[in-house]
Amino acid sequence: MERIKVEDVSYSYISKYQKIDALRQVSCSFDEGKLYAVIGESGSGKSTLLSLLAGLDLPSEGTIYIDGEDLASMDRDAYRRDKASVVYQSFHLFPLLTALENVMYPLELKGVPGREARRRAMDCIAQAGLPEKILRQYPKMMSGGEQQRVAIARALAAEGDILLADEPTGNLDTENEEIIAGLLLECAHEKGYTVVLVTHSLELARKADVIYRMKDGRMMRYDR
Amino acid sequence: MIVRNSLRQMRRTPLRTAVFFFLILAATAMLAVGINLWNINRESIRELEQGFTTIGTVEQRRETSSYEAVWDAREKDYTYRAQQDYGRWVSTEELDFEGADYIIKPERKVFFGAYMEDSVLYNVQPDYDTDYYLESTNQQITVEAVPYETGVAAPIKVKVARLLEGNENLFLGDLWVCDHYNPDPPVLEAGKRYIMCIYSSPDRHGTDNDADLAGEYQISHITCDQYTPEGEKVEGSFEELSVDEVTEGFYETERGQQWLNILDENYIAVNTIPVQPVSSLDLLLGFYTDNASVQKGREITEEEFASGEDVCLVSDLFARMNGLEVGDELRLPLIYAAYTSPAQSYLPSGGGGAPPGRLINAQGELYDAFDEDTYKIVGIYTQKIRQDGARDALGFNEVIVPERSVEGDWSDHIVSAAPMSASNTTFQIPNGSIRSYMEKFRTLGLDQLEIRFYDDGYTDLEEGIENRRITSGVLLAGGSLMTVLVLALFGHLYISRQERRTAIERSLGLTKKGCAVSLLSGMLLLTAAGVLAGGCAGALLTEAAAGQTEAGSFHDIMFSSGALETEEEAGAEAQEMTKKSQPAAGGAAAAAAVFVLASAITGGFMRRNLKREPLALLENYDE
Repeated sequence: MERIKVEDVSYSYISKYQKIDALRQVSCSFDEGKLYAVIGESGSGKSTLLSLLAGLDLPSEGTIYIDGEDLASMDRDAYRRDKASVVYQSFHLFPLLTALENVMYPLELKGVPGREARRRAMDCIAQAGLPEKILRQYPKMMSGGEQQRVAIARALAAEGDILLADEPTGNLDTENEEIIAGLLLECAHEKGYTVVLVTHSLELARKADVIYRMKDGRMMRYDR
Repeated sequence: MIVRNSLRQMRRTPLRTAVFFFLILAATAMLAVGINLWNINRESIRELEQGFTTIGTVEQRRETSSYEAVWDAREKDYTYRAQQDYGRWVSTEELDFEGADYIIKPERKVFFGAYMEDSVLYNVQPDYDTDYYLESTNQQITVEAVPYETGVAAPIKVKVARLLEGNENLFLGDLWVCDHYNPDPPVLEAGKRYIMCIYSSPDRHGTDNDADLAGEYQISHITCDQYTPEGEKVEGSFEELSVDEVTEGFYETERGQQWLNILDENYIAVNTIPVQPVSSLDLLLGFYTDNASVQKGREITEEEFASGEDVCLVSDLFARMNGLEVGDELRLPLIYAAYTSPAQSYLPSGGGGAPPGRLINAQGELYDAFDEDTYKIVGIYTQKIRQDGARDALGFNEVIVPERSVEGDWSDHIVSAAPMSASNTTFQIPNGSIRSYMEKFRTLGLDQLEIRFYDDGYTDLEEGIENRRITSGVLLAGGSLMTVLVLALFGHLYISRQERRTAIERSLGLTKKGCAVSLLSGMLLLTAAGVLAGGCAGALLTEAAAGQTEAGSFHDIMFSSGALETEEEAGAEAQEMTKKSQPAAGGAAAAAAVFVLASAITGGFMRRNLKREPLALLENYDE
């Protein structure tokens, strides 16, 4: 079932000295229960596409539909809170909150009571394969892999069924890359999430159900 | 949840949080002290301004000197007397120049003479009695005299046929009379009776050892004294009285009546008292310098001055002589107005003074009352110095009334006129404006005028006042600047540098409002605690600071010509002043101001953060 439909989307912005066309009439779609990999060179527009899918900004032209509804007309804060979660290459954890508090954050935003939020957060941390000792650690005390897994645990805790991951293994070693890949596949295939993965890693991309390749802001699709 | 997380994150940066708290506390305290000192200074400056008055006097100097030829009967030749002239009289209007910021414009003070027929007037002679004086003086005598031989009155021996006024003991026999300064003295015929007013003078023929001539008296030339308000002498039908032959029915003639008026005028003159109309007691030097002060009752109020109430102040001497008390009424028939010497120089005979002019007008008539009202005595004043001629003395019998209470027109009752002098022209300017006034005055080129100021030491204090004003201003400005800088710095640290946190929160679905609450709540709660503590500290510090400031002012006053006060009194004043300034209110105001400022500054930073889309805040533009 098609969860996300991208229709003729263009996105441009003004850099310091010039206008940058990051996306040029991109059209694609994303179904539930599948893992999508978007690959391409740096500056090809793949992370921009991911941010637009997360509703962090709106396309300059074209439309993004979420379950058939124009994202531009939706409450994008609620969309991110309830449906879409984003995992970033640089993790973007709150530095002054512990791992547990970081994972609890989206639950508390939804109004889940403290004790319940804590229980669910601990479940998510366990799903991400993190040891219990990490619960009280601050991000700066963790390795990159651990931080990324906390970020994924936070995304899982949000309980949205759209998971958007931007270079989730970019800063990780091979072992951690495998763990993260496994987690993303699990989300897609077992939980039925729509998982969109932006990556440079062909190894990781090969694990995806569908691969999109981007070049100069344009998109091509390669079904496996 | 959001607030809790905000506070949690602040708690985990304890050093930064503590520094922010103490800086906000210090800034608020400084601001509170600045506000309170500013208020205290404003209050003390206001009180100082009320306590001081700057008045100026104007004196027109004589410009030219000339010699007047005066006939001397003894020398049978003219003698020359130096005489100084004012030239053109400068009018008060000429002092109304641009930039002269008068509180009270220069005005030539007039004083009035009230004929008090039934009152007892105080005099330097304790047993003073008007009738006795008139009978015993040898200063001025009016007689009918008969010459023994026909001859010119320069001198001539006469027999006193009738004493009309004066010391009768002196006139049992003959005497010599002389029209001493007249180059063309009258010829008096033997056997005829002449009326003349004579007086004893050192300018006479013979010596004290010359028994025959020792008693020589000189013949007066009596003129009228009536002037226009502009100071010009009024010419009328009255012709100078010197010597007139007394024939049958003489006193029924116009000339004879004028002689009778002169006799009455002498009596009236010694029974008049000076009445000084003023618009403020400060304009009377006696009250300004505290030589005179109200001992019983009260001063005339500003409202009474403004409305021209019929109220008055009388001297304790006059009140005592006449059994007057506060609340009694006094009828004042005003018969003449004078612009020359001040009221204080006019003392009834025996005190060395007299009315500043003859009390007969240009028609030879006695002046009648131009204004007559009953005044209520509201205060009885006393004075420390009573020397005749003392700059700030008041007349023994001087009555002070509101200027506006005199409604009668005295323009036909002016017996003396003079240009502006220190005794008749005063004005008031704002405290501390003497220098700027004089700078502008000098550009007028009125070099014949001398301006003298009395400010009771205000100028000496002015620098101290200005220093205090600057100190409190610096504290206020410093506190404000420090507050802004602290808030800007920490606004930057807590908000601008937390863009990433905002972006993460937004990417997790927190609304813009939620993001604002998340970032601002902790900071504003900390600010609230800081300003409360700072406000309290500021209020406490104010009391100490105010005490120091007032102690300084005590020393300032000690060396000024203002009123002296003891250190205890200064301390008590400081406490009173501090109470009036309400340090707690100042602390609260500072706290409120800092909190509002903090809200505004942090709100501004926050708005800038929220303007940017999370995409821009996070990354990815550089793909």
